[in-house]
Amino acid sequence: MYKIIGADGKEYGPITAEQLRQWIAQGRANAQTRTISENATEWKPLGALPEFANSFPAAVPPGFAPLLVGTVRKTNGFATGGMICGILSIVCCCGFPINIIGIILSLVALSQINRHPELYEGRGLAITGLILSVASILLFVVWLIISIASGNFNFNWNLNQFGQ
Amino acid sequence: MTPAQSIPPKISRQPSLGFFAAAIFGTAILGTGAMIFFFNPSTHKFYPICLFHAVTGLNCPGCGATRSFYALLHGHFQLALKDNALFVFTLAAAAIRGAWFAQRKILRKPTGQFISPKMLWLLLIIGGIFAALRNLPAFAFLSP
Repeated sequence: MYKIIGADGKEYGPITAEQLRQWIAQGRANAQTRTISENATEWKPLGALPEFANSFPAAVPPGFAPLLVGTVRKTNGFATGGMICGILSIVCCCGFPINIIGIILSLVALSQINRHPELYEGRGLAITGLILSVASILLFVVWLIISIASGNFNFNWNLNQFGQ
Repeated sequence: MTPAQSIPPKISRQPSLGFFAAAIFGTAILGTGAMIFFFNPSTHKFYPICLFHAVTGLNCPGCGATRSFYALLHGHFQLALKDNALFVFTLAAAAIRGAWFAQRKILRKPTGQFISPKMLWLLLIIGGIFAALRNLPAFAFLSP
């Protein structure tokens, strides 16, 4: 027989292992749910009980699990986002909201990577994203100066000087 | 038999940051797609101009992508390829990856990141080469 603490913080049970498996299947309990079995003295996460170990899908495939424990660093998600925004801000016409977002994401990524170099990689991505985003803003400034100086905001689409 | 009131509530799953990013991105893509579908970028003036093109007169790797997308949405594949071949291939790759990703997610298999850093570097390098080529006289067919 087991007792668990539900998502609302209240205690439930005692229930049988069969009933508990049913609750897991219904999404009422998960691997983090605090559980106590009738002859145990302390609350444990449900995933730590060997009799329920196969009730939860493995978070990572077994072959990869040993690699993930501290040895392999994860690419920082903000770094990837910063790089994507950096590329888009150059390539997508005016690039405006994107280059600002790119700068923010890249800076967040850099600070996270600097704080936890053992957890994250992706410094190159973040720096490239930052450079591209800043270049996009510089491009806008140059364009603004040229436009104001020439008083001409009119643009022709087909302008490959060699092509057509 | 357990009384009904002693059944714990379902655990609400917290949507991840990636989910929100994908949702915002998807909405933006759909909105842009709808706008491009109804307003031809070649004839409507309200589309943002390419700053790189405006400043240097050269075509950036993204130049022509809007017209290419318009052509794709209206089924003109050759025109789409001519306007921006890199955009068409990137879109196709993203669609294939998206389908694979969605299938893995539905089957609850591990997926990893949607775009790996290696792919991003590759995209950056290919974009650079594409930009250099399409501005050369011999490869002017790559320009819109």
